[in-house]
Amino acid sequence: MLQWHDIDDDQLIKLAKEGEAEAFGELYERHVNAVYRFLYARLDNSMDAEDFSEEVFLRAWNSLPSYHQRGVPFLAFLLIIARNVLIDHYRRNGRSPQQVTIEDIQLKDTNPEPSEVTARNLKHAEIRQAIARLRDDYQEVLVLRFLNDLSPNETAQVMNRSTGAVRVLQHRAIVALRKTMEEEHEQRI
Amino acid sequence: MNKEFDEALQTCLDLIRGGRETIDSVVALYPEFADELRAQLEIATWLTSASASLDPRPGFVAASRRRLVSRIQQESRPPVAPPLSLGERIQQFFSAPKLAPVGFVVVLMLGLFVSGAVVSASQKAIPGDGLYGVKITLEQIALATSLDDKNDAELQIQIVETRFKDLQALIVEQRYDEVVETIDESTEQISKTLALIQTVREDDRFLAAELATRLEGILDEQESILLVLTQNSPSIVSANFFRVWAVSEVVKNTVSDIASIVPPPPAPPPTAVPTVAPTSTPRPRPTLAPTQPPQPTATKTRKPPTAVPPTNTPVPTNTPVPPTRTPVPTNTPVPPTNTPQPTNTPLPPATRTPTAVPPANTPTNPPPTATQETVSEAEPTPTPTP
Repeated sequence: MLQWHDIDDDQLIKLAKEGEAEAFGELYERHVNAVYRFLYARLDNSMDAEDFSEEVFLRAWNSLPSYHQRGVPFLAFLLIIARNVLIDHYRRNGRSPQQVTIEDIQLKDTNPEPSEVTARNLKHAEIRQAIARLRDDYQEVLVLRFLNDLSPNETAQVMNRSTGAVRVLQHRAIVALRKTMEEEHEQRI
Repeated sequence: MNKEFDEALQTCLDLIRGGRETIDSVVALYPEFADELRAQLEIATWLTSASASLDPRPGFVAASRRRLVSRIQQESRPPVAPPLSLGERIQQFFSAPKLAPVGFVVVLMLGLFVSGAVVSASQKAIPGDGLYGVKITLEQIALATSLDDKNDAELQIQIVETRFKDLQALIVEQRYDEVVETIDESTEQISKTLALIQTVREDDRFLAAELATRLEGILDEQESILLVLTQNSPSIVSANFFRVWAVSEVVKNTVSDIASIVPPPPAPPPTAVPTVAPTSTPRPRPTLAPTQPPQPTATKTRKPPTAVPPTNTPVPTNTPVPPTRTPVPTNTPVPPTNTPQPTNTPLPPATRTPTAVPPANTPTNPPPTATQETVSEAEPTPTPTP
């Protein structure tokens, strides 16, 4: 018997466009981690990342009839929506991602929790602390390329730039991050 | 940063993720990019290794999937349904069972409102306007639904007057293109009206005379106005105006004849005794003389005022009979042959009330306060048979 996980993305998208909610549920399960990661790397707590992940998929469901007109892979389509959700979030709160302070990061998600969750939160805080002081497009290219494991071409589609521009941006972002981490290390010493 | 370096970086990352290579081992594969490649790989592998810590908590995906599917099923959105047109949306809105009566009422009220507005606006339309056709159609409907020739004639007189006013409006607004056609229409309507009045005359000469008088008055008035308006109009308007004038003059002569052939009302029989002429002169009916037979009066006869020669109406100058007061029986000339004996007819109390009687002729003088009461009692008294 054919299961949802046996059907490829294109077929699921076609079924979802015909109104099959379960097909869209399967697409959700396949891609929610990447969306969540992209969001969580740019947010201060996991609750917001969960809420925004669901919002991204609801927006995607409503935009599904026009999906093929965009000509991008489905994950890139989802990450474009996630990017817009983040922009809306920061616009509502009157602050940009660069304005997140290290103090904010250290104060968030530090409630007593199981050790595994605490370790994950600390790692999240470490990443946030590392990239939060970078320019927004630097953060975005690093998250897409190395946390979401997108190719330069896919990253270029999400960021609406050329592939060459993404390569240059990635190089500059890595240099900036390295410099920031070195400065942080020196301050600690 | 070139494409070769980017490909080298991607290859190195894939090898490291495979678990069989380290940064040192992969950098050795690309000695030309060794330094830059090592710096970027350190950062990239650090970020890549951290990606697992950014995954959602266990259980979130399954729970949120159920939530999401349930939510979009509730919304039951038809994703590929073609958008409805405006007409289809309106039809869909009013086809809802609860809204059907509301829709009917709304459509009915809208129809009434629009038709009322159109009818109202059409009354101000003049030839050349979009709603002028509505105005003409309404006139024709009114004529078609009229019940008799009298109503037809009255409507025709109104139409003649309206055509003249249309003509005036055209000249005032200098819309001369429509003038000639409207003049033709006016002359036609005048002829129709004359024909109808002549038809009415066969049944009712007095009514025909009244209608003829009205038409003559309208033609007189409208001719005068048009004469003034055409003074500064182009020659085409002035020339055609004389056609109206000519037709109007002919019709006026005819209607004047109709109006003048009405015979005078029948004169009362000549008597030596001064009698009250049966004219339309306001005068109280002799209700206080119940014995008086009904006299021929002009009150029930429709006749133009001109038909009554004023010289034939002798009005006694010494008759102090106000309309509201009780007429004096003693001053009322009653033919002696028709006067019944007072003893045969019990007079109401009012007959004994000499409130309006001159003092010389009044033997008694009852209190005036009883006048109103006695009159009211006297009024219902039936006239006795002669």
